[in-house]
Amino acid sequence: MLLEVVLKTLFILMIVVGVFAPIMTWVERKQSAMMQDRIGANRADVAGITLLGLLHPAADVIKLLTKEDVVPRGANRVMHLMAPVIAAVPAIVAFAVIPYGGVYQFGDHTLSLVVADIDWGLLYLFATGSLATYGAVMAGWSSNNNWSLLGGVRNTAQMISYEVTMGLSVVGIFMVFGTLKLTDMALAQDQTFRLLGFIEVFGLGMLPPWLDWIRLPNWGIFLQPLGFLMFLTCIMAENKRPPFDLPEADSELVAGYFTEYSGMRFGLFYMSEFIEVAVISGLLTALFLGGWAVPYLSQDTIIGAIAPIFGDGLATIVCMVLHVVTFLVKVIVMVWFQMLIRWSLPRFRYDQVMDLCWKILLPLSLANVFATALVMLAVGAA
Amino acid sequence: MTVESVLFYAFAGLSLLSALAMVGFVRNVVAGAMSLVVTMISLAGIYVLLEAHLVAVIQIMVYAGAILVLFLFVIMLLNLRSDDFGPVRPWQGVLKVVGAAVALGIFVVLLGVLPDTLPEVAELPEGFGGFRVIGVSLFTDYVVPVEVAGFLLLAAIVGAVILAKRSID
Amino acid sequence: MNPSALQFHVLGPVAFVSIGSLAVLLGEVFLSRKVDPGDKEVAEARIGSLLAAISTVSLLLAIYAAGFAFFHGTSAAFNPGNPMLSLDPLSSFAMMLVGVGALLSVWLSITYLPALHINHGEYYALLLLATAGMFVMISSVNMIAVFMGLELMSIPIYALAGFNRGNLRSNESGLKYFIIGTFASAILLYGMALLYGATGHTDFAGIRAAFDPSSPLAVAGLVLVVVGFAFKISSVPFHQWTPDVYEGAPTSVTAFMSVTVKTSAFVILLRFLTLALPEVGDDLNAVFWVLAALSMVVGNFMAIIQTNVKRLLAYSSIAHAGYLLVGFVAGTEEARAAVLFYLMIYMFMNLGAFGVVVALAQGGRESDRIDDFAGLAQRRPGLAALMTLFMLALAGIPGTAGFMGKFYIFSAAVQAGYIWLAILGVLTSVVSVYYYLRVPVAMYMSDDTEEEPAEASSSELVVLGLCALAVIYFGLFPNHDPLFDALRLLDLAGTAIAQVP
Repeated sequence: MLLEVVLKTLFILMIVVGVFAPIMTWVERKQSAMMQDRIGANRADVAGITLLGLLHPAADVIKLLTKEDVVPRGANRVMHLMAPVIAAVPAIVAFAVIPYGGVYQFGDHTLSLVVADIDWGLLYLFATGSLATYGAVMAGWSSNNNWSLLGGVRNTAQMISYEVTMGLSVVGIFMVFGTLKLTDMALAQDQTFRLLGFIEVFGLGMLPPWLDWIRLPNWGIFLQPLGFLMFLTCIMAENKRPPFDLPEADSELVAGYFTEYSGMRFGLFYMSEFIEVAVISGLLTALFLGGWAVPYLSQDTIIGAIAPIFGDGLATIVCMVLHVVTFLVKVIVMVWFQMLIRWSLPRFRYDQVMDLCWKILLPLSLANVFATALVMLAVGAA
Repeated sequence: MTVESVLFYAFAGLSLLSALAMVGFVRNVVAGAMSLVVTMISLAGIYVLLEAHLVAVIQIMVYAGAILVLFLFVIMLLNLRSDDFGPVRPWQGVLKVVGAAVALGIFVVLLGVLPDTLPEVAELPEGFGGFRVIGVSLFTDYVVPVEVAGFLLLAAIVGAVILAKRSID
Repeated sequence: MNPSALQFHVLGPVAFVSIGSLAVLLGEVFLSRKVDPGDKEVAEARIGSLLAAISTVSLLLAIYAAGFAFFHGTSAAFNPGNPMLSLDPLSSFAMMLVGVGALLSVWLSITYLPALHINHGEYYALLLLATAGMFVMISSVNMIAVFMGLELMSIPIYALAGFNRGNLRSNESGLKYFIIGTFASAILLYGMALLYGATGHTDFAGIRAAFDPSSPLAVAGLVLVVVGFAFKISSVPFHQWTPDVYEGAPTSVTAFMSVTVKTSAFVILLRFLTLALPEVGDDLNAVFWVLAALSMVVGNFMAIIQTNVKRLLAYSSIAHAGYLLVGFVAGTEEARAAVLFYLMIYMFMNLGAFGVVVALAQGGRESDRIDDFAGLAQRRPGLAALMTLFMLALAGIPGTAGFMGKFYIFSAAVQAGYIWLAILGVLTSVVSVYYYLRVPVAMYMSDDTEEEPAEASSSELVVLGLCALAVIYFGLFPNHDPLFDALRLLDLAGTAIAQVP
C-alpha cells in the first residue's frame, strides 16, 4: 500500500519535475524561434552532437548550479532564502490529486492511478493554489529592492483577484459532474452524450435512431465551453506568464519579484513556473478534456475488445498504458497551447488585467453558474 | 499514541509556537504575518484531524490564501520597516511579562476546570465534514444566516468603497 | 426541511427593507449616469430625494408588515423545524419602533445631506441595510442569526459614521466605532462560542434546556455575551466610544443610531435573557444592577461639563441606557413593559432633539455647540420651542412623555424591591435637569449671534412635529394608556418558540 503510493508519487515527480520542466525550457525557446522565424537554441553540444538543442537544458542547469548565490545587502536573509522553495512547493504538491489514469481491477487489487484520491480534490487544488502567492510575495518583500517590492505587490493583487473568478468559473464543472473528486470527474468524462439529445429531453420531438450516432465525448469543454475559456484565462493569470506577466514585467520592473535572485534560487523560480505550466495542463486535461479518457472508446470497450487477444490481465495493463499515454498527450497539447498564447499575445496593461478580471470575467462566471443551474433544473424537470 | 494524536500534538504545538512568534515579531511585521500564516495552516491541519475537511480547506483558502495575503499587501504598500516604529519603552517589557503571566494563569485555571465540564464527544454522522452535508445544511436549515451574510458582504463593500474611494462622483 | 412548511411572511419586513436597499443602490447607479456636470448640485439633490422616496416606501411597507403581524397577534417562525427568525409580538413591536426610527432619520437626511455636501445615494442604501440587520437581530431566536443581524446592523453604521469623509471628526468617529465595535462583536462571538461549547446548542430553546449555571464555561460565555451587548447599548463601563462617535458622525446618522441601535440591542438582550436562560437568579441581576447604577451616575455627571450638544446628548444616551437597565434589574412583567415603552418614548425625544441640530446645519457645517444655540429663540422661535420641549422631555419633567417613561420604570423597580436603585435613578434625573436646561437657557437668555441660523425644511418640520406630538401625547394622557397595558401583556416568548422542545 505504502509502496504503491511512493511509486505513484515518484512517477508523477519524475514526469513533471524530471521530464516536463526541463524539456519545456527547450520547447519554449524552440516555439518562440519558430514563431519569430529564427532557428532557436542549437549551439550546446557534446562532441559536436547537438540533439536539436536538447542539451541546452542541461547546460542551463550546470550554469545555474555553479553561479554565485547572492543575497543583497539589507535583505531579510531567512525569507530571501526561503521564498523560492515556498514558490515551488505548492506547484509540485498540486499534482497529488490529478488522476493520470483510471481505476483498474487486477483480481482482488484495485489500482487507481492518482496519488491521493480525496473527495475534495478540487478544493485541495484551490487551497494549494492560494498558498502559491506567498513565494512571490516573500521574494518581493525580502529583497530590499523597489522593483521586487512592486512586483510582489502586483503579484498579490493579481492573484487575489483571479482566484475568485477561477473558483467561480469551475463551479459549473462540479455542478454538471456532481462531484469535487477528480477521479469521479474523469470517470464521468469517459462517456459520450448525444449531441441532439436535448430535443428529446425537452419533448421537442423524436429523433431518428441514426442520429444517436452523432455523439460527443462527455468532456467538460463541451459541457462548459464558457467555463473552459474563463478557467484557462484565470489560471494563466494566476501563473503570471505573458500576457499576464505584470509582476515580473521585464520592461518595467527589471524582473519583478525575482530581480535580486541568482544561481539555483533563480532557477527554482524558473522551474516552478514551468512546473505550474505542467500542473495547469494537467488540471485543464482532468477537468475539461476528459482526463485519461480516450474519446469514444470507454474503458470497458477497450478492455472488451482486446481481452480475447491478450487475456484479462494483460488487456487491463494495455488499457492502462493507453490511458496514461492519452493523458500525457493531452497534457503536451495543452502545454504547447500555452506556449502558443505566451508568444502570441502582448502584455496587458495593469488596469486592463484588473478590468478583465472584475468587470468581465467575474460577472460572466456568475452568469455561467446561473445558466448552468437553470439548464440542470430544466433537464431535471423534463 | 496513535498517528492522529501525534499529528494533533504536532499541529497544536506548531500553531502555538507560530502564534507566539507572531506576537514576538512586533518589529518585523512581515515576519509576524508569515507566522500567522503558519498558525492558520496548522489549525487547518487540526481541522482535518477532526474530520472537518471542508472547514480545513476553507481555513487555508480564506485565511491563509486570501486574508493574510491582503495583510501582506497592505504591509508592503505601507512598506513598514522596523525603524518606522518608535523606541521600545521600558513599561512595554513590564506589560509583556504581565500579559504572559495572566495568559499562563488563565491557561492553568482552565486546564484545571475545563476537562471535567466538556460535553461528551458525539458519534459522527454519515458524511460529516464533507462539502455535501455542509452545503445541504447551509441552504436548508441555515438559509437565513447565509442570505444575511450575503447582504453583510454587500454592506461591507459599499461601505468600504464610499469611505475609501478617491473621489465620489 | 419541508419547503411548504416555510413561513415566508416572517421574512416580510426584512425582505422589504433589503430589497429597498438594493433598489436604492441600483437607482443611484442608473440615475447618476445621466447627470450633466453643469448642474450637479441640483441633480444630486433631485436624485437624493428620489432615493429617499424609495427608502420611505420600503420602510413604510416594512412597518406595515410588522404592524400587521403585531395587531393580528402573529406568532410564527420562518422554518418551524429549525427556527432562526421568529415573528412574534415582541419582534413585530420592536420592528415597528426601529422602522419608524429609520423612517424619521431618512426624512431628516433629505435636506441635511446636501447642506453638508455629502449627498451620496449610498447613504440611504447603508441605512436600509443597517435597518435590515436590526430586523434580523430583533427577530432572531438563534445565536447565529443574532450575530449575523448584529454585524449587518453594525457594519453599515460604521461606514455611515464616517460618511462625512472630508471631516476629520467624522473620520475619527467611523474608525473609532469600527475598531471598538469589532472588538465588542468579537467578545460577543467568543461568548456565543463558549455557550455553544457548554450547551451544544445555538438556538435559544436548546441553550435554555442545556444551560448549567454551575459550569464555568457556560457562565464565562454568558458574561461575555452580556459584555458584548453592553458595548452596543453603551452602558458604563463600556461606553467610552459613545461621545466621540456621536459627536463626529453626521447628525442624522447619530440620530438614527442613537435610537435604533439601542432599541435593537435592548430588545435582543431582553429576548436572550427570557428565552435562552433559565432563572440565573441574583448573580446576573447584580451585574445589571452595577451596570445600571454606573451608567446613570457617570452618564449624567459627565454630561454636565459638555459644551457640544451632540456630546451632551451622547452622555444623556448613556444615562438613558442606565434607566433602561433598571427595568432589566427589576425583571417583572411590568418592568419589561416599561422598558419597551421607554424605548419608544426615548426614540421620539432623542430623534426630536437631534432633529433640531440637523435643522440648524447649513453650508457644509454643523451648528452643534451650545454657543451656536445662543439667541435662537429670537431668530427661530419655533425651533427653540421644540428644542425646549425635547430637552424637558429628556429630563423627565411631568407633562412630557419622558416623565411617564421614567415613572413606569422606577415604579416597577420599587415594586420589585429595588428601592435604592430607583432612588438613585430619581436623584440622577434631578442632576440631568441642570444640563438639559442649559440649551434652553442659551436659546432664550443669551444674546443673539450675528449668524443667521438655517431654515428648517418641510421634511425636517414633519419629523419634529411628529416627535413633538408623540412626546406631548404620551405625556398628557398617562392614565388611559392602552399601549402600556398592551405591552404589559406582550408575550415575550412567542408561541412559535414555545413549541420547540
